[in-house]
Amino acid sequence: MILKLIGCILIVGSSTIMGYTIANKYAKRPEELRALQAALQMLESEIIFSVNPLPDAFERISKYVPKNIHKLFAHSAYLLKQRTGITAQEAWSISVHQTREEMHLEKEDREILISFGNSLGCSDREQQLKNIHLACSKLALEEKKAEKLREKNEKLYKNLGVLGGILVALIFI
Amino acid sequence: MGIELIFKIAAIGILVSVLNQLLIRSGREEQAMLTTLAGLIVVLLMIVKEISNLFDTVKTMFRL
Repeated sequence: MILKLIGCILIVGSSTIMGYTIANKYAKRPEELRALQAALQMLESEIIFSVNPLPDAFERISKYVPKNIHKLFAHSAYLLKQRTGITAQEAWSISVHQTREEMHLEKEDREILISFGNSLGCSDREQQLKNIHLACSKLALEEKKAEKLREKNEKLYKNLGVLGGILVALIFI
Repeated sequence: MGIELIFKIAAIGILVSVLNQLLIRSGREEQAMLTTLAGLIVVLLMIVKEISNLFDTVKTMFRL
């Protein structure tokens, strides 16, 4: 009897955790997209007003952005500061790939970021500005979509995890 | 055959109906349908033994 009870608690607990993990993924993505837009705005002002080179700009931005996207900027600043002859585009795409596990972005979001990086640091100021605006508007579009998905799925997965666990436990008893 | 079976089926029924509502609210009618069907099949599998028992009883009763 006790063994059954322990098993049921384990099943319900693990499926609840599973549901919350999936819901968390949907909740984090719009947040990160928003943070990325803010960071790009910051990069714009770094380029226009402070006229900092990219490694310094990235480093400064990484100090002010929230923790979830901090590593993206910190890592590309680190790569650029190594002075191994790596271009800004390479450093950016490497850090986008490296932070794939820690961020909750989808493939489309990463593609936007990488295509933003492709023209990073290889044109004049106006072009950079245009590029940043383009990336920002694309990210805003994705954010809207992500927000819709979140509304649809977050609560569902939270409840589904708990209820599914109870159902499985009941069938097993 | 005991009272537990009835309680179990009732609990599964309640849970499946709640799940059904949840899925319909979030605009997933197909999955809701699927869940209901799965619940039905599970409960049928549970009581299939009892049904065959009933048939046997009826058979022996009328000496068929």
